[in-house]
Amino acid sequence: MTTDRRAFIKRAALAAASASTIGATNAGAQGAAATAPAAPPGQARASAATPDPARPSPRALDPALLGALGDAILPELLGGPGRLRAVGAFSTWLARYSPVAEEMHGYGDAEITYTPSDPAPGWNAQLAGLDLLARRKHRRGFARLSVPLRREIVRTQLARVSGTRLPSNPLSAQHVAIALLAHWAASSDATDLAYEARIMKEHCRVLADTSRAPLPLAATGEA
Amino acid sequence: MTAPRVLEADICIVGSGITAALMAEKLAAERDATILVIEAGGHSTPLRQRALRRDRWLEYGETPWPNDHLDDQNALGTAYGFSPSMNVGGLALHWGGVTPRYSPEDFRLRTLYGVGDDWPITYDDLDPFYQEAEERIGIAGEQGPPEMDPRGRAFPMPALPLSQNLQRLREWTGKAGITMWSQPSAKNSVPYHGRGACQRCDTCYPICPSGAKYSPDFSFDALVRAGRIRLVTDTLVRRLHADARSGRITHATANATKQPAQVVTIRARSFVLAAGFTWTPHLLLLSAGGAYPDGIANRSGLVGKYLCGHRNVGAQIRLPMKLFPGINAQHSLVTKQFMRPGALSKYIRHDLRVWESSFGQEPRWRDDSGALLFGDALMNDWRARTVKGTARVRAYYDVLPARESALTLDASAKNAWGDPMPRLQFRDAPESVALRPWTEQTIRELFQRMARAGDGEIISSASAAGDIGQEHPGGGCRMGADPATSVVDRHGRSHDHENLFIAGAPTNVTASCCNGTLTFAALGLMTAASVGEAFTARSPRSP
Repeated sequence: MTTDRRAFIKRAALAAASASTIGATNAGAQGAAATAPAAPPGQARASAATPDPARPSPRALDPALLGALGDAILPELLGGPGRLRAVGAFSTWLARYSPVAEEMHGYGDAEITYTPSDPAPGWNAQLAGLDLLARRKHRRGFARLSVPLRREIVRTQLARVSGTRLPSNPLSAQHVAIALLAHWAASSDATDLAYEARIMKEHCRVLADTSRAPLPLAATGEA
Repeated sequence: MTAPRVLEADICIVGSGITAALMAEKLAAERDATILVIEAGGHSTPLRQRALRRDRWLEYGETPWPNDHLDDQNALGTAYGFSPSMNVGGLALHWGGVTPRYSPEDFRLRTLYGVGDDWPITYDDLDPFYQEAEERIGIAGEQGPPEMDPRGRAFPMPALPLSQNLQRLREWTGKAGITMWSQPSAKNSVPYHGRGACQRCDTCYPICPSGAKYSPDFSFDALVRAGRIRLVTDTLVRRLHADARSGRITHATANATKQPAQVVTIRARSFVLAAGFTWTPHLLLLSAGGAYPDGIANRSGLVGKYLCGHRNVGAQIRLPMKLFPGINAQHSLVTKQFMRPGALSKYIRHDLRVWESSFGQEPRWRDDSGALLFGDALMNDWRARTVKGTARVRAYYDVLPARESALTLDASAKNAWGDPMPRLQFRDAPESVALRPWTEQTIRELFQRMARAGDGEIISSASAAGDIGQEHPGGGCRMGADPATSVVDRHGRSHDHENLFIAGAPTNVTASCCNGTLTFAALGLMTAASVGEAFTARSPRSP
């Protein structure tokens, strides 16, 4: 990559970022995060940060449709409250997203790359599509269908989406359903459920406990 | 017109990566000398902001080190292995903190195996500087079997404990006849140098939120606070100037990167280039002119030549054991068994590391039959694939550099001042070209033997691509005893300029088959000892 090209991409990215954050109430979130005092080590990551209800995000997805989708596709063993939390965490994550921010360049990467543009419009359109399909097929909105019927609608939309694995980054999901599943599956809690042990990946934890096997979930009193 | 700015010091260090940081520490502690460190970039994320930057990286992939590069400074060509990082701390802000030593064989390849070139130093010469680097950085390590892992003294900190995953994987590698131990790491296993112990946050690379992993800005911050050095940032050194008769470097010229018209002149008794394998030879070549038409320190014609590195072969091995990936995901087992092979009928040397892995256990939304997985079906499918464990194995193998493995100036891309950018072209020596297929096949057979020893199976295998560059690169100003075949002597002093020293990665003759950072730092400390000889020793009572 030539330096001219890198400078051009950076200018283009900055322009896109400006455009995508015009009027966005959370436009300053990244800067605020960068200058706020660090959380003490030992605490979980800030993904559970509560958005300010007085400042609704312009990137919010239709809450009723998103909740109905989460109820239909997230594991039943999470229970209703667990699925609600997963949907809420996904919404918070989306609200705090800063499009076209500089991405990590690793060892051996001369390229500077940028996070994708705002996925919310596309994902909202997909939610609207689910609702439209539900009304055409069943003369009821998506949120009012039974879980089996909702899954049937989602299957119809996902039939044209390729892939098998949930992406590690929800931003690369081609459909809001996959993004929601991917966001939940990337969480420490989901990993613990899968391995049925309290691993607490990516939490800062006491080094002395390293050598012990993680506790089984039941012993920690968790579902 | 902006008035020129003049900076003066006894010792000027160009660059502020890990090699520069440790050299500045040593010189400031041991010598009565004023020390100036010049960095082209600025400061990146301070420790107090790293926890939140880490969160943004985990959540969205945002860089924790924003604006750590200059837009118009970049390398072209086979640049894999090169990083655009230009800031206080260099690439070692986001390193993984993996700190193996080279093995004694690395310094005597021609003598022992008839390949490559010998270094002008031995492992024993470097051992005290390895030790000093380990103590200054703070390395937690386990002494391997002495015949595989020779060292003069103990590690400064006990090893990072092995997770239950790594304990089980070590039992498995033992069955395959491989002796492995805890990877030495620049992460505190106990409080050290005023920083707390590791909390296994799992993001050592690219960012440690607690400061348990060493990063060079810690050294610079302490030195600046104590008034022991002057650190000047946002200043790009563009030329060195040498006296035509004496050969001494008289001064350097630079430009302020945020005020491009601001010219900065730097005068010093000794100049140290610690700007890594790309920008060090680049600066020497850019400085061509007058009595030095081929560049500074380039009487041999070897500035920019013999770029060296290594490649890897890796695999994922599924094993019939329950593992829990994520307990301390970046820590690994290591062995030097294959770096110290004894007599060989055909040359092959490589390291070997083993990690816990979740490869093949990732959650999925569609099963093998194409059916979509929703709800508990998704979780059940995920759980079924966690019953067996996965080990990630990887071997870096030795690659010997050709003379024409080189950095050159490419006028097709220039910075704001019209300086051509570096073009990298890594090339293997003929013996490495010939050995490569057999080397990679031999390593794959080792992985197969390991899989069989654990009743496991290889589920993925990959080799590094051959034409994109090399890992942990060095060279470009190789050291040697003969000025006709090397750029610097065993201490890093230029054969052509008595007050010019080149430190760390560029002086490597070969790049071994393991991570190079500790060796770069140890070489820098060896060079610092030589730089310091021109200055009086600092009184122990000095403030």
